[in-house]
Amino acid sequence: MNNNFSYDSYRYPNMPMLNQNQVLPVPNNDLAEPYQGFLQGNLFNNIFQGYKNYRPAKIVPNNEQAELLLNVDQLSFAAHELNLYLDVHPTDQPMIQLFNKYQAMAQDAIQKYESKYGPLSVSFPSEANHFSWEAYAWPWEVD
Amino acid sequence: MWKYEKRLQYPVSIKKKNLAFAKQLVTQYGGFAGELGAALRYLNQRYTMPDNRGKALLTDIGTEELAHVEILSTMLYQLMKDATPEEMKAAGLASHYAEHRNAVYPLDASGVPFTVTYFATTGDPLADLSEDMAAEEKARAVYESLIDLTDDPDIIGPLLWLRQREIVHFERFKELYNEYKNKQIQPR
Repeated sequence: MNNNFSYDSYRYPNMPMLNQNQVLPVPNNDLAEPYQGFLQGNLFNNIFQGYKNYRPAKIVPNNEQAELLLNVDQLSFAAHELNLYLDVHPTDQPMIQLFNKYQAMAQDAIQKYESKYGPLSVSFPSEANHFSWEAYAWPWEVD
Repeated sequence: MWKYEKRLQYPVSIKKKNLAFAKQLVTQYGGFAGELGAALRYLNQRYTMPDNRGKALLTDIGTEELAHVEILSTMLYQLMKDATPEEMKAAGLASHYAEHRNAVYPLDASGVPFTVTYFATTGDPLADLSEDMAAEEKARAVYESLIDLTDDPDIIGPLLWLRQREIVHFERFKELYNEYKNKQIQPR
């Protein structure tokens, strides 16, 4: 289920012309979009710290299932990042609004995935003749 | 109460078997700076946090660390998948094979099994949050060392991502630590 994507766009530390200790440039706005935030593992550009001259891997879906899963992953990640932030800053109203927005988008992405490619949680209604939760691949398996 | 989602928090697809690297990587599962210790540390410390912010943050980061345990386990599983006893032996994993065959098991890079003494819980929120900040920095440093030891993009991608999560968690712990320190908040 998880091998329908490829990583792209690495730069290795032994590449010439690149300063190995350079700090990665980040956009001016402090909050990354869900896709970029997910790829870099950090929704908050102002606290992003790169390592040497590695760039975060670009995840490129190779089919519809991988694309729908990437939507779930990135939106859930964005909501989770705001969740952690709001735990410590629980009265930040613009962030609460954005959390609610990403959370709703994530739920929508989950429904879209599950309706075509099987349950992501056991609470999803099973098909009648075979328990759906058991039937679909587990996430550590590579086909 | 917990619920499982049948997906990895960050995707893993390692195509090349690499037993030598699995032997090093396992420390981020079961070593002193590993994800298993992190999950247990935060989930165990949360009960005595002095306010809801601490209880929420330790619950949510502790829960995320369980997802990181799954990412690490997946990487180890894929790195060791279909390795023969001869290959395991040649990679210095004969004792792993004897006890665990190709299963994942929480050890450090020297083969020492996971121990609960990798984390503390003092009941003092400032002491516990200081430990949590240090734990995140140690895990970040070990991820960097591991990245230095490989050139496989299928391995580097998830390691860079996991390393970045340590940075975010450190920041949140630091914010909470500063709040508690400034307000001289006392344990309940």
